[in-house]
Amino acid sequence: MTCLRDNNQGADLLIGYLEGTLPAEELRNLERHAAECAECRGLLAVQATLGLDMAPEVSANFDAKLYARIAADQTRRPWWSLSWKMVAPAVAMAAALAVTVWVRQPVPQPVPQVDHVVVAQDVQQLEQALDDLELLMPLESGDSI
Amino acid sequence: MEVAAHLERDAQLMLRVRDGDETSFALLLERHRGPVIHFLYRMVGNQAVSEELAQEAFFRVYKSRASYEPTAKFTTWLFRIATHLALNWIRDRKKEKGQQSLDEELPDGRERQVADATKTVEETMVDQVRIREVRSAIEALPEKQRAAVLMHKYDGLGYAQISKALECSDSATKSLLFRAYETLRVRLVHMA
Repeated sequence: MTCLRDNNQGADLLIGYLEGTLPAEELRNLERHAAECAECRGLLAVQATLGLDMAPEVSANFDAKLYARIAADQTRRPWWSLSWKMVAPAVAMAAALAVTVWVRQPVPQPVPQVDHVVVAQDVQQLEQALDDLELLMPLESGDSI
Repeated sequence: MEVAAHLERDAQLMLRVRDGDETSFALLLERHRGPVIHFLYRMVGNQAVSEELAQEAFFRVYKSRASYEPTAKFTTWLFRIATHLALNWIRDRKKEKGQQSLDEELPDGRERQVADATKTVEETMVDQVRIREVRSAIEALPEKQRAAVLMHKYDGLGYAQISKALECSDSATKSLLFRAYETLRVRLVHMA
């Protein structure tokens, strides 16, 4: 007798049985085979054995903890992750404030232009004065000789 | 058909969550909280950790609501998140302490099951021993086989969903499942 576990089709049948999705005809064939095959019988029995394990109850405060975490996360969201609806009032306030400040600002006075000709004349005068000083220097030294 | 309707409804609920409907998130949580925690509990063998990981899974679902697209079944997406969290936790724990036996975790509250009032103390104790054996056999499976068999056996996910949750091919999933059941058969043969 060929065991179902030795081929792919048999593996599909066995897993289908464990899933509870086998059509009636295939289920009968499998049970007929399992009656004669200890390994396959053992595999089918795994289904019932695994069913012994019941999961524990969920903690009563599970949801409350989750919602608290979600709320905490939302209060410390970075500004770029905020939705437009949340940001809009703050943006409107900032815009209004900017407009008010701009309107109340005094009209700026024109900055006087620097007269390059005047500056050049000043430099010329300074240079002339230095030249005059240089002219005086030999006379002073001659006096001492 | 009923299952398909439920899955479709899950996606619809998640789309409503995406649009800001908090009630729909509460409905999804109500529907999937138990299966996800139970899956994680059987994966990690610790009630407190399983609830922490489930918190993280649902938190991630909520946080990624804005980008949610119903390209896969909601349960597949949810179990993929849960599986990732469980596998990461198991790997981190292995690095930190090495794998501990299932029995060492018993004080953590894993015995919080409702006792069957019709059974004697002796029968209940025998049941507990058998349950521990089943859990030990499951915990001894390689991680991916364990995840596959838990989703298959306890959470009712089909091949396609398990494949997507584990991010592997259908044939690889079949192979994982078959090897897992075969290993369990050998380990639990005395209980049949």
